[in-house]
Amino acid sequence: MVRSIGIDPGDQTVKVVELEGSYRKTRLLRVHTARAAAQSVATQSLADVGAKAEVVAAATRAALDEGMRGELTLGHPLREAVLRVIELPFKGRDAIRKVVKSEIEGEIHSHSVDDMIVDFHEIGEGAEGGTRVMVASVPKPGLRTQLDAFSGQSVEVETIDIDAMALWRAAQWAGAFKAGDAAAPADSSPTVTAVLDLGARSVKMLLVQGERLVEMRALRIGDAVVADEVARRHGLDAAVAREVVRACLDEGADQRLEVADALPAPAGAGEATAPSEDAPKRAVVVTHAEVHEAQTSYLQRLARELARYLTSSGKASQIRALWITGGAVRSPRTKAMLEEVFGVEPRELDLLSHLQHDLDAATAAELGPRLATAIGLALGRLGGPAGFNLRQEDLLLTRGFERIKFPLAITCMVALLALFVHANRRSIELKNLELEIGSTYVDKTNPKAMPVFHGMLNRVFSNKWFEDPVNDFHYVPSKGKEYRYKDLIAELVQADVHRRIMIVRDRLKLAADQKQKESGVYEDISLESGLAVLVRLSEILLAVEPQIKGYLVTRLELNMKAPNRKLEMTVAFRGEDCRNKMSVLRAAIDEDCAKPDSPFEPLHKNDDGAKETLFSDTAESGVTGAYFKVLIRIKDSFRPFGPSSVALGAADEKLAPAKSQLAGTGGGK
Amino acid sequence: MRFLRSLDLYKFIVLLAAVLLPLGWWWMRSLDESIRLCRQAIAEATKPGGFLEQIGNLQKKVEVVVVNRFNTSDAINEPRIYFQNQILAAGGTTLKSDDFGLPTDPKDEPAWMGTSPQKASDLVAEVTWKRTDLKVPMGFIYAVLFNAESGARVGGNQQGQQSVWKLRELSIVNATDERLTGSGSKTPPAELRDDWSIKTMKFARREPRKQGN
Repeated sequence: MVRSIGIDPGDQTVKVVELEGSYRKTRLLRVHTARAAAQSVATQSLADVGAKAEVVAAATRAALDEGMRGELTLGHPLREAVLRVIELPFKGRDAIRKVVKSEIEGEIHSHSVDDMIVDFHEIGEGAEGGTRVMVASVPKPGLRTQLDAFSGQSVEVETIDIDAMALWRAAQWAGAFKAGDAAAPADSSPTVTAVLDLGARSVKMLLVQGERLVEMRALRIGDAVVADEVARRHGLDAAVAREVVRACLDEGADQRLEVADALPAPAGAGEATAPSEDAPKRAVVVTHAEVHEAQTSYLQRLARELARYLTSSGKASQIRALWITGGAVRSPRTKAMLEEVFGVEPRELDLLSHLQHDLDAATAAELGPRLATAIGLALGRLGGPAGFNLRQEDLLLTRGFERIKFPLAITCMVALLALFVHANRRSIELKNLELEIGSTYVDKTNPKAMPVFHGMLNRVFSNKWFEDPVNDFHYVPSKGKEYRYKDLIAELVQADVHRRIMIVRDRLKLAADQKQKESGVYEDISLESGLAVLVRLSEILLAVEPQIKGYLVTRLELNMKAPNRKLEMTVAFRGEDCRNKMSVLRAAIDEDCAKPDSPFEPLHKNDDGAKETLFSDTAESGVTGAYFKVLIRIKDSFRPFGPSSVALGAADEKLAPAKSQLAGTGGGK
Repeated sequence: MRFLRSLDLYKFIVLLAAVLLPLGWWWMRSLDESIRLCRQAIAEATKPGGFLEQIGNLQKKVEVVVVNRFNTSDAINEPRIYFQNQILAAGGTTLKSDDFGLPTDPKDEPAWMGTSPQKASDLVAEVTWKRTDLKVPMGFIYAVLFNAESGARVGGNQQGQQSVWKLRELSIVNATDERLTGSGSKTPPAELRDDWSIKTMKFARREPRKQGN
């Protein structure tokens, strides 16, 4: 629920009200009143203004401390404002706002317009389609003093309105301007409703046509002049004089009292400087006659002022209703005077009867007529008609946020810029990493083509292994259809880039596992080539042929059956150097065994390398020499025709004579 | 609405920042997380034994399966015809089909697979050379071995699929002088003729056994 607080500084009493709800359905939550500093309007000094501002601020602070919550609207006395009605030849608030200050400048002579807050209220259409506006100009010093006082009490007032506007709003809210309330005019002239606020020091008067405010005026006269006269005549304190005057008028009898035989307390000192009980006292008698006389004088003066104003406004004859509010609203003599001046019976504007509230009857009766302005101010924040806003220019409300919004905006801009730069850098970094892994590349010239990938994925797919029908990459999930290469590509395109390599690995693993399970082939079961072993042996022999010239291979036995694979060769060397030649051959074989792709194993510990059998008929043949039986063990697994092999060239050379016998070359035809 | 009415450039910037900064922070977080994941993915892919290496190994696995899966080529279904063609192609016009014998059914021997859980059988086909007087040059032997192992066909393309048959056992003796084959260790002549007598020639192919077989 929206809450709103209205502050009416008043002339003698500060009124603070708290409303809750909406403009149509409003509830009065709390009322706080405080005695204002007593001073005469005519003799207001700067000190008085400051003191009054402090009292208002303190009263507001006290109200807030009591638990009032909501946005605060302060009413500024109309009597301190300069009101002018001007016509502008155009419409629109923004357009009017731009010129209103310069337009009003020539109308104000008491102050420099630069030292005033100027605001306006549209009160109707002007001639030739223009706008008729009521312009209120309020000197800044008074406002600033009040705002400083609020700051001292840590109170932030959101809006400052003219109190008469609050009165108009309150009257409208209470239905005072409804057509049925005013007597139907005899002629066709528009009806005017008058609203009168009878304050202690001033009287505010509004003239409203229909529901539209047409004029308002503050008369610097109030019923406090009666008490002032009594106080001056008898040397009484202002507050005491007010009480005595009230008692005289209520009881219709003389009032006798004893007061301290001293000068009255200075205005604004209030009860704080009350004389002590031991001070000498004097008796004072205030007669009803003198009070009556003072009141008569006041009413006569007020009647003259009102009549003068009505005459000057030209709307005296159009007034069909008169609503009154304020402290003097229940005075029969005042009512009689008003009826005589306005020609209509005055009616009390009873706002409390339209409000939900928890006030007891006595309090409601006491405060009811005095709260109209405060309630009207609070209603402005609940959606009531807009009034004036005097918190402008250098008096504009700057909340905590308003004060820091410039550095905050700069900080935000810097933060946004830094964020953008940093994010951009990180984004580029991410893009590069994704390119390295395998972001998708779609050929724009052929959008229907299968997507390809950058980076590692490109290397994985570039050899077309997955597409090769020989490899037949696919697997069948437990549920669903067969998963093939195109499904893999589609999944990769949809997946996050960082997961893509892992997805390829996972899918390939599924395919490999399934293929292994189906085929029973879990590892390479291909047989090693016996031909490769023989070719390797040939290479070794060819390599050492210049050193072992004249070697004779007489027998060759190859057994490729695991686990005891072996090659046995019987080679004969003629001559005294047969052992040397065998040693060269053995060294060549050992050298070959050291090569990683050699099919031969290094000589086993228990092998003697080569079993030697000397020629048995050397004596007969005259030739020395020996047979050597060479045993070479063969590895269980080797790479046939590995890179260290010169097989193809050497074998080709060796096999050259037999090339015509190879099936693939067309031999054998 | 009241807020929008009082909206100025500063408020707009602050409002924009209030929206964009959390979004940007979230974006940065997601970028950082993505970068972390990408770096982790690269590290996991490129480290020794990483994803890339695993992919290569898995491809090899599949290739192994492809190479070793049951084959239904003629070399398996009709080994006699296969070996006959390959041997005759090596022998030219001098060799006749009755110079050698071929098995009707290869002999099934359990394959030795070391510690591997893989089960396989070796099917051994022996080519018997009936004529004891048949002496062949070494080139012929190499040609027979090459034809049998390569699977090359007469008039066919050499780039074709390799044969599943590999040389299993071979025993050849130089036939220049009878003395050389005996146990006398007589002095060999200075040069040997390129005449060889084939004592044993066996080829084998391997088939996987499915689990439970």
